[in-house]
Amino acid sequence: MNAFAGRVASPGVAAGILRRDMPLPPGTGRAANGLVGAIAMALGQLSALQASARGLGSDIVQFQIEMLEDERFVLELLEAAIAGGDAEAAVAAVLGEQIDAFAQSGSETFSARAADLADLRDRLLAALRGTVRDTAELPEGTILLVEELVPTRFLELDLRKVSGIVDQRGSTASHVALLARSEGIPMLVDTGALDEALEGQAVTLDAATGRLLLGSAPGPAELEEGQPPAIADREGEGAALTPQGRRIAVNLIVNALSVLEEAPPGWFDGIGLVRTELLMHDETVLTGEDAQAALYAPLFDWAQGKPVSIRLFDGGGDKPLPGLSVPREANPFLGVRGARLLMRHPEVVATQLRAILRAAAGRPVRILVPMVTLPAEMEFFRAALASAISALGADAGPDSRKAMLGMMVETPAAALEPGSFDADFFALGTNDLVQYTLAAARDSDALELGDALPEVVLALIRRVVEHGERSGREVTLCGDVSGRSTQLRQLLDCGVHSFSVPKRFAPQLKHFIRNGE
Amino acid sequence: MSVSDAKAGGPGWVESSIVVQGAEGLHARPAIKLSRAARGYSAQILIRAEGGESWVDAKSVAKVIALRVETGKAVLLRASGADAEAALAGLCDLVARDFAEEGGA
Repeated sequence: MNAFAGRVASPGVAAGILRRDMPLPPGTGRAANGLVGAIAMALGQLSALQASARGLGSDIVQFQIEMLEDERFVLELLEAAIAGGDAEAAVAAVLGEQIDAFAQSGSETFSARAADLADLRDRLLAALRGTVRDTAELPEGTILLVEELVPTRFLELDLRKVSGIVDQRGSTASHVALLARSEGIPMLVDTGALDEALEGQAVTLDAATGRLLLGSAPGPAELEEGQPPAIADREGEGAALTPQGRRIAVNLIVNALSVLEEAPPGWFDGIGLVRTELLMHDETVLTGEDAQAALYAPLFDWAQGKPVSIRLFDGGGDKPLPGLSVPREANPFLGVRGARLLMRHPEVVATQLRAILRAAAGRPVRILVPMVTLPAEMEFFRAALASAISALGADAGPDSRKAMLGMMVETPAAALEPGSFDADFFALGTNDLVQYTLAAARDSDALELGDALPEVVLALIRRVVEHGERSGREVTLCGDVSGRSTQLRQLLDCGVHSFSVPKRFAPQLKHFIRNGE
Repeated sequence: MSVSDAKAGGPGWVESSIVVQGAEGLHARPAIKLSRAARGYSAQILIRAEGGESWVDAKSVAKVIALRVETGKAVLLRASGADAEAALAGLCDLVARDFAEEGGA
């Protein structure tokens, strides 16, 4: 199978047809008098977007509206257009100067603003060229191919039709990447120019391992965190009870803090998984203790006393962690990843644990260890947690000793004898559990698995769930299966009573739980 | 009075300085709030980053954000007009409140 590599801006897996976003049309050298109309048109588009935007998206749109309502800025544009007799050149020059200044500022906050100004520039240029980039035409099941996607363009997309995004350029630290993580849309960036012949082809976007695969790959794990069917948001409200009256917990997965501004707390029983490595602002170094504590605090504010499970940095495999060296291995998925990588960097673990405890400030906190395979690993993290609590002393908050330590169950080694691990709770990662149980990589077509989860995988899941019930320990299943009704049925039948999903999947998941379809 | 007069300072101008706090400095959201508040006064109001060279119109969000004032850095404000004193007091108060809405949380 052909595969193309990129960097993961937003995790998840989606299948669909690769389609190129409508490009900006070529310039026409419009004279200055078109500029006022173009500004009015852009303002109208942005105002329409603002009506539905929330959180980070709303901030980005508002900034652009304010720019266009700034008389001095508009005057500068008009003067440049009149002086040069070319509106497009004026827009490119006036905004280009600011973009360059921001891009070179060396400050991350202001660098991100450069992309927002480029966004505004492109919108004005499109308006000058008389183009309305309509997304209504995109068919369902589209994997969108773009070149440097801008934030407001992302906000215009109908996410019921776009199940994934491939950006040939772009960065994992951009506002668009944050928006995609917040919405739970799988996104790959920096793939380099892809062959035009790929357009219109069936592809699988594997933004878990950072690959775009030609052909729709088989296997049940492939479509995790794929595309949610259109189910009304009101289904997200309230408790999820099966027709038999069994209560199923639905927790939020946090890939970006901006999701907290968009996810209604009433939809969720808590936060089931925080991918902390995705919250780091810098691609080169892990954030320090104070800054980490400031990043984690909003999670607890949002949860308002409901449980918050924060996973320690999950790297390795083929996913590097900023600033941490991952040994070069012939087979990184069978090497230093998850808990193993963290154990080589005890200072990183200590810093993160202290930051989490400080952010929790006595509120209920669960700390999740990524990919665990041996009981000794949990002993390491139990000791590290105890050290962090005593190092913090009173700063850890009155109830810090109630902090729970849990483990990701992603291997048969962890699932077979869950009772042998010192874990207060368990989180099942089905993606990896399937591939490690079957010895089949997710991009392999060596096995034809169909829609259902294989019986052996279910047997492992059942083992963990039963251990949880016997010992009074919670077991949650991470990753989204809400578009996969066969799997969801199987998991409910296995006794799974807690799911953790990205925000946009919650209504669909609850709908299925309630109706059995 | 023109901007070039203002650059020279001099009679008719009142001046004040304040340090920008908050997580992200004078980035988009604070710049929007500052320029909006400035437009509420009839006085001409100019702003300059400490150590920077150019005074810019505080009523223009584009100009204010272009100063790229990071957190912990000071800005200088200069106003001239009937409500110049009130403008400086109001704007300094806004920065001191870390751009929080008045009366709000």
